[in-house]
Amino acid sequence: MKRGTLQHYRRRRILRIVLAIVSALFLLLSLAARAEESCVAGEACAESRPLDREFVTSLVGPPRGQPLEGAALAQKTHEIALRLRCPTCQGSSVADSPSATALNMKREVEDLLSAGYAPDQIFDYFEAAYGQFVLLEPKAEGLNLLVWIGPGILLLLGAAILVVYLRHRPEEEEAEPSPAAFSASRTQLPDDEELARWVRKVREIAYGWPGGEPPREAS
Amino acid sequence: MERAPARKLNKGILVGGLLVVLPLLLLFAGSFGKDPRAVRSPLVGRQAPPFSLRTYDGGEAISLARLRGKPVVVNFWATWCEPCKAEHGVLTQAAQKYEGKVQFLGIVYEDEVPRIEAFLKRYGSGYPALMDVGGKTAIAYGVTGIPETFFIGPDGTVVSKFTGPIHAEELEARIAQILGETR
Repeated sequence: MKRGTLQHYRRRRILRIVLAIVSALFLLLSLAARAEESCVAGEACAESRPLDREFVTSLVGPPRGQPLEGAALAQKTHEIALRLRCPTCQGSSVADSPSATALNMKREVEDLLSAGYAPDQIFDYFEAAYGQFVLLEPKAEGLNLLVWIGPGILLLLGAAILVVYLRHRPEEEEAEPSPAAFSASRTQLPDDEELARWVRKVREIAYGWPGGEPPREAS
Repeated sequence: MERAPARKLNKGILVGGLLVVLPLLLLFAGSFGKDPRAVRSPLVGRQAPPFSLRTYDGGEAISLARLRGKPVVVNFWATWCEPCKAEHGVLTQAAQKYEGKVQFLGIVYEDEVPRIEAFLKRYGSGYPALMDVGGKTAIAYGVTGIPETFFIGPDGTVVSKFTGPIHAEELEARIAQILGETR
């Protein structure tokens, strides 16, 4: 191959590589720009708005706790999220749900904790918006008391019924069957012919009685 | 063959059992036919949570506080929500009918701008569609499942909340309520 042709091929190869790198960079940049653009309404993203402290304070009062950060903030957020119901899910907590609503709620808890609101203020804030439905542990008041003390009452009631029943059990039930009665039940046959035939077969197998008939007692 | 003697009915146990079972039955019977999701909003009767949100096309922010003195209808919706499509026409028509008297606002819930654009191009746009980035407004309003529509009086108080696709008659009745007209 001539030197000129070789150089031409080399140049074209370098040009291709440069073009590939430029295209890859362009693609990466456009993807990043698209990710920035597609900040979804209602979904957690970098462009999240700051907490409206004035509004929160109007509902639950000024912050009563210490502003949290770092690992303590993450742990407390998780603890509170475990006790909040994800309103768009089927019975799962905000901590357990991967839904956008749950993520937003978790971020809201984080914002409230870093602003210094105490856990009970945070529960009050969510309750003010969603009602008690949002609390996975209902407050022990009103009809909710049934949930807290109902199982205990039912347990006591069951125990009382059991005690009363055992004390007043009819005597005949307590008495052991007499050997004669037991023996009679072993030798009796049902009225139904077909059933009696099967009972005999079972006796033959179980007791070894020939023909299923009880052996005659020696007088 | 001998039969086991019939057991006597223990009245104590019967009464005790009925005392436990009857209240539970009454509780369940009272809830039959009711929508378990139709929980009364704690916001009703209170000041509506404030918000200042930009329109989906990046327009100027619309603040609820600035609308004080005018009844407001706030509808939480999304393009992926089928019932929202059903009520969109009803809301758009009402927004035209009550223009100047009632302010209609749509707050988009968990959705993307290109989809919102396509939806409004197809079904028409009669009132501002606001972006609730981060979902703070939906949380403040206790939104549990869209569509949800809040009716806010001129003094900024939440007068009522409707869950599900609203139909024209219901919408008219609730607008009359926030306008102070009785029906």
